[in-house]
Amino acid sequence: MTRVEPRRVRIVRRDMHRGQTVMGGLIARMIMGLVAAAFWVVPVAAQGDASNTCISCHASLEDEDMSEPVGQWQRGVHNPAGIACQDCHGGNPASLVEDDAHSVEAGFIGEPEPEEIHEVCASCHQLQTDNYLPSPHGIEGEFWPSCTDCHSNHEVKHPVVAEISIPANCEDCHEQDIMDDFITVVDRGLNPLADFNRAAEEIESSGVPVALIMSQANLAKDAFRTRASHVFVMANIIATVDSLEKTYTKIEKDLDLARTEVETRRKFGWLLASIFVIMAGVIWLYKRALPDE
Amino acid sequence: MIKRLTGGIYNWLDDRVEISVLVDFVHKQMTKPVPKHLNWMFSFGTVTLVFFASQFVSGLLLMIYYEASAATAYDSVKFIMEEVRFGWLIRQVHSYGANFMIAFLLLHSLRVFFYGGYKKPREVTWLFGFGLLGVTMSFGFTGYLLPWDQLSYWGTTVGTEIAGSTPFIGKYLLIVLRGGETISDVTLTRFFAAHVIVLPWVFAMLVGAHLFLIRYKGISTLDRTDVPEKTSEELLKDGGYPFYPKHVLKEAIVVLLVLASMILLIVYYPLPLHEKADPFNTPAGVKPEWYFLSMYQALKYMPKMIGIIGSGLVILALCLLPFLDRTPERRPSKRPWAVSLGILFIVVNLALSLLAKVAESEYTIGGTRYHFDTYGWPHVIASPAEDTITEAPESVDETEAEE
Repeated sequence: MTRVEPRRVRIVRRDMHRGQTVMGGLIARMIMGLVAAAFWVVPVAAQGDASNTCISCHASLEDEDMSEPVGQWQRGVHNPAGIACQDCHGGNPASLVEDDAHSVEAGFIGEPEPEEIHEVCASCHQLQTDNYLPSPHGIEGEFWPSCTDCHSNHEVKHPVVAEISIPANCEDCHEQDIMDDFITVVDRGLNPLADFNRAAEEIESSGVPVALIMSQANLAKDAFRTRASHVFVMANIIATVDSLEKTYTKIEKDLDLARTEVETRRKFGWLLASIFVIMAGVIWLYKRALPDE
Repeated sequence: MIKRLTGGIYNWLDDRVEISVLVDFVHKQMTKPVPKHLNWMFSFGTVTLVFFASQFVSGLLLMIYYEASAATAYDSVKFIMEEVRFGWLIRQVHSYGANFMIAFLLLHSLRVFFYGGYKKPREVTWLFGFGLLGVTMSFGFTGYLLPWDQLSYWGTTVGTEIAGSTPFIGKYLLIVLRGGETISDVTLTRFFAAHVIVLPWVFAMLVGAHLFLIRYKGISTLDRTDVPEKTSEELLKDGGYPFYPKHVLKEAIVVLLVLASMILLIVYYPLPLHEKADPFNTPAGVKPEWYFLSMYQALKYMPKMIGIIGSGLVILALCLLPFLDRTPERRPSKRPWAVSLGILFIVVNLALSLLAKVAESEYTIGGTRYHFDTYGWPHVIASPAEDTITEAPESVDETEAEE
């Protein structure tokens, strides 16, 4: 009961707010919108649906085990990708009634058992699961560690080694040297891809096409994901990363060429603009020198 | 030698087509004095004209490679931007040029309004100018669809829906514009035809008439309309000066500086070509181009019928402005009501455009995330606000009532 009450308080307030809008709050909305827009605003990527009742209810629960995941999810990578609570836990995120939201008919599974976690993740990450299952960590390792042990469950991190919790989970079974080697080789495989993405985004916003270059990067990424990601066999990972390094060098060269094109365009722009400004200056001087009529 | 040659050609032409009549006319127009109060803002019309010329040339170049069909339009624009030598520049000049042209035409209209340039005896000049504004916006509207990307496709969908809300004729207007129920290949070809054939001709005729009247009637002074217009001699005596060279040079300076700004915008903030149009996938937050935003947003706050009729009346009032405002004063300081109304019109339009811009988007302001709904109203979507809401005690009774 104590967990339900705050949520219902909020429901009533939302209804009141909606009523105000209908009753003529439009002018107030416009003014408030303008006031808010007058601040320096920074656009962010599309985020989770603000009307998701899982989020709105759980955020206000007193039990921290139940409320903390909301904040964690908001900070994770699933939020901007549009993956919300119901995508992993099932349930009805549109229902305001707890029993409906948590009904089995709506596919609610609650917290998955450790041996089920990879099945939940597989609904989106099939390729990684296919590699994970026959790996030493999969069936043979009795699903330890599971997906969430490394990637976290709610505050899911970007899949680069620097951001996932490998040492904390792995040092009990693996020696530090092996862990260091693993981190190094995976970084060698993944970090350039992240760098390429950042560079491509910057170049593309300058108007120079990078689609062809990035198709090479995507092929490399697919190769890494298929042959090295989640296989947990060092020899396979090293062989894959070694084979990809040639491709990475070529991508880097192509990106450098694209960067040069951006610079060339900017220099051309400055040249043209300078010519126009100088011409304007000369005309202004000539105009000033004209005798008064 | 050169002088003898040109003189010979001139005489030869004059004997046959009496070119001296035209030369005398042009000379008379160029030396016709302009009033002394002309400042930099009186160059906006010329800037618009230069952009029209630039649009014409860049549009012709784009047409060499552009293919107006739903299957090929997007790829042809992509080809122009990525494969054709200087294609990126031509396309950017055309895209930015369209925006600059409309922006400067609006500024020119505002300048004419605030300086009372629409008043007697220049009512007809205003009417032609108003027609030019309509044609220019139609240029923008029809050209916006041509790249056939997601933004242009769905922006045009929204734009034609506004036209489709017109009372009585909206349904038919929508079909005429789209060539069917939805935006399709047929829409693209008719927009293309309007953009490259119909509108340029109409524009050329209107601009010809507009320019002729400007030169014929001269640029208005700040004198009252109930005193006779000054003659050329009187203008010169009153501090005026010949149109050429001083004013022409002033206009040239403004044009060059605007072009320089546009070039820098092109190389630093090029306008992107988005994903190819997908009629089955509506992107979030679809909005029309910036110059339609205020009208688009205004229609959200009222029933469509009232909104469309209201907008129509505002447009009609602007068109008939010289006949509605018959006060003799031209000086802004002596027209407080007109100037206040003008400023209010600008503020309301800017406010509506800003609301439309933020509507249906998420922004971070001072570290807090907001979702702006369709009316532009901000809603906090971060958890701190949720915590605050739960502390409210006043609705407990209603909570229990629900149970």
